[in-house]
Amino acid sequence: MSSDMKQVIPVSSEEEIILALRRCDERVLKTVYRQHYPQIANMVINNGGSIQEAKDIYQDTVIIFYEKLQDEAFELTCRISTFLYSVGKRLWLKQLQLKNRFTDEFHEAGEAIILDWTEIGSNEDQYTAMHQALESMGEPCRTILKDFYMHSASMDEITEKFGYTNSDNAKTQKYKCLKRLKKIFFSLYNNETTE
Amino acid sequence: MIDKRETEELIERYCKGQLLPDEIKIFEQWLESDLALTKAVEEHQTILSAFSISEKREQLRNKLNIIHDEMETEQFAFKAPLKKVTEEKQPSRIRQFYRQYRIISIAAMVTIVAVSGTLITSVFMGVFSNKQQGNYQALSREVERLKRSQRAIINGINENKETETDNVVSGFTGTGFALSKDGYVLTSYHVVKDAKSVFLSNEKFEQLEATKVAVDKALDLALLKISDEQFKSFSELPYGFKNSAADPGEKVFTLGYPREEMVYGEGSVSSMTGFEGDTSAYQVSIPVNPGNSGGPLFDNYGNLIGMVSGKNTSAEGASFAVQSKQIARYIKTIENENISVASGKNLKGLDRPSQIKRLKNYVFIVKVFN
Repeated sequence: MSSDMKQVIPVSSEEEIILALRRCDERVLKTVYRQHYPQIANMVINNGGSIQEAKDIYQDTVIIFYEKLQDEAFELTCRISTFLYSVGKRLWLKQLQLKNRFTDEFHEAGEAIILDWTEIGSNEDQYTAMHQALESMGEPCRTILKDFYMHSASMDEITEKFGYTNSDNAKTQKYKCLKRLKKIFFSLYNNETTE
Repeated sequence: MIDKRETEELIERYCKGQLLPDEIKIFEQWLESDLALTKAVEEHQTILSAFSISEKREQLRNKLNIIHDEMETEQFAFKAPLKKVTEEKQPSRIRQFYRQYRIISIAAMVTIVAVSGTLITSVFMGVFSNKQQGNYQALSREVERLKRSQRAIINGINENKETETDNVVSGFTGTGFALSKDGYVLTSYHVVKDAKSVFLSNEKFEQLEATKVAVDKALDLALLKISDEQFKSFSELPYGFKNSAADPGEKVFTLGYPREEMVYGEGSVSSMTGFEGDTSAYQVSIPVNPGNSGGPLFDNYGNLIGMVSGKNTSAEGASFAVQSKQIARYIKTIENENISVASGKNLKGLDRPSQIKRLKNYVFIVKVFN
């Protein structure tokens, strides 16, 4: 057995890869991640992006792909590389647009297909609104909400961590924070979805 | 009549499926007759779903970051295929070069001071005892005690007599770790006690200058702030403070620099008090050595529970660590500094090697020049 065997999964068919990813096989995730990075990174960098931006866009792309695969109803109708490239390209174009950095000519680094974004991007609005809303919250709100809703911390843990005298005070604080979060979240979310 | 907050709580428990069967019945009846409540429930479900998406993405991104870091360190070649079509800034390489150049020059400076016209008679590796009580040993490492014995004889000129001076250029080292994203770093007071300059380095940061911000002799804590121009900020710290007490028997681990390389050590909390019943510290069963001082102490989930500070020399495997809640309390008392202490929880559920991979960039060797 060569030591390489541990690192690199033998070449398998696309279906096998998809099945493994649906099972959340992390070794396969690693192989897939490494395999497709150069193409998408090239696309971003060749179109005005930095290496850091390439990494971010690529990770967002992989996250969307992985998330979709956890949905049993989702069926991939093209090659993995085509799907990833098309999602990555869309995300990068959107980002360029947001930053007003649109380039006149797009340098392709692969083959893109047209995606049904209402289906593929179904989580994006919620995620983006939540991300921005949390970013715009100050402390301790952001951490309290993240701890409670994302890291499943109990109210007792939060009471202690933030030094509240009793859990009722912590609850009041959490209530106020959530109220503010909701306000920001829905103003962003409703804007995005009506656009 | 119940108030808004209680309604909110009911809605949350309803959405999370935590209501009792009877309560559900009443709640659903209420829902039918109250449109505003229906809308509030829908909104709450959207919020919960957005949180859940964010949670899963955060976990996945942590995994991807590990994969990415590994890929980058393993294969430098990855940068090669990335050709740039557009002409863009190229300062990164220059900056890199400058950085290395600067480090060489710092090293050179130190060497020049130490060696200039002198003979290094001894490079003494020893331990440094700071707390006087019997067997407590603070754990900074005296790297080089360069005894300067200068012997300058200039050929043929008689006025110059032989001179001999003793001068100590010493550097202690210890360990330090990031406390917040914006460059606050914590270490032991006894490490940086007499420091004129302090430098931090690890695998990622070759050399960062830091300044002392505040110290607490009793707790043996020193707060540093990275003052280096090269430094902007850390990425989000993967760990956070644990404010509650650890339990005896809990598994803990530390990362430190008893030598130039980072060294991992593990053990468990053996007692809720430190040396001679010091209630601000724990006793832990991690073998530590000079240089480990100021190292972070983590529990299994990667929560920061303390900072390694010393050991009992007359007992095997009895090391001491300042408790995280003492550290947190102390930090709150520091005025004029806006410190938002890390509260990351990104290490939960990862295995130890992955936790270390995520942590190592935030743990530093602290070099001190007096």
